[in-house]
Amino acid sequence: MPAYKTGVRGRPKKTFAYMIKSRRVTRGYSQRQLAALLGIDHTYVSHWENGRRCPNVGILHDLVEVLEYNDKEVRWLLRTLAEGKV
Amino acid sequence: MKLVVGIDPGKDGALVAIHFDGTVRSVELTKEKFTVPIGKGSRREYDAAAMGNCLVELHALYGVQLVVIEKQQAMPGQGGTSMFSIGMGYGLWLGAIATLGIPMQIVHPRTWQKRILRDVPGTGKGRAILLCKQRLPELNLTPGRKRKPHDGIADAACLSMYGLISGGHWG
Repeated sequence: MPAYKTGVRGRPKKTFAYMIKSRRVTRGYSQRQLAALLGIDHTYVSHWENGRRCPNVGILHDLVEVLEYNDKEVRWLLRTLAEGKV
Repeated sequence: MKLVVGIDPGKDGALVAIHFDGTVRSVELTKEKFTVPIGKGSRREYDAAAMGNCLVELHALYGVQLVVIEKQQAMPGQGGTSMFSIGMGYGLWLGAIATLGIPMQIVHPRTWQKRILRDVPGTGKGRAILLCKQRLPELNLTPGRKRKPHDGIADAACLSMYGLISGGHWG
C-alpha cells in the first residue's frame, strides 16, 4: 500500500478510484445510474472504483461531463492515471 | 464532442484546438511542447509522449470531434534527413490519433487552402496569417517573445477552421 493518506474504509485518497467514487457519491448517483448515463455496463464502474481497470479516453470525457469535473481536476485525474495511481 | 483540432506537422508546426463556438481553446508550438533538445546546438527530436498526452488532455477536457492534419509528402530537391524528420513527426501524430480512436481527416495543403483562403488577398503564408487575424482575433500568433507571426500556428488554425466548416459547425 503506497503511503497516501487513506479515506473511507482504508481506500487511498489520491487515486483515480477514490476520486471517481467520492464524486459519484457526492453527486448522488448509484453505480448503475452512472453507468446508464455513460452508456456502459455497471460492472465497469465497479472495476474503476476498485482500481482494477481505468476508462478509455472517450469514456473519460463523458465521465468528466457527467461528474462535472473542472479543468484542474481533469488534469489531476490524467496525472494519477499516467502515474499508475489507479 | 465539441472541439476540432488542426495540426501542422513538422518541427516548425503547431497544434490549434477550436471549439464549436469559435473560441480557441489550445495553442501549442511543436518546437516548444512536442520536441526535446538533443545534444549540443539546436537539434531537437520529437517527444511522442508529449504529443499523445496533449491529445488525451484535450479529448478528456472537451471531447475532440475531429483532428485535421496536413498531408505531408516528399518534395523534389528536399534532402533525405529533412524528409525523414518531417515523415517521422507526421507518422507519430497519425499513430497517436489512431491509438486514441479520435476521428481524423488528412488534408492536402492545396485542398484546405483552396477552400479557406479563397477570398483572402495576398500570396504565400501571409494569407493564412491574415485570415487568422480576421476570423480569430483572440488567437495569439506571436507567443512568447516572438515578433513575427508564427505561420505554423496560422496553418494549424486554418486546418481547424477547415474541419469546422467541413462539418457544418462554422460558416
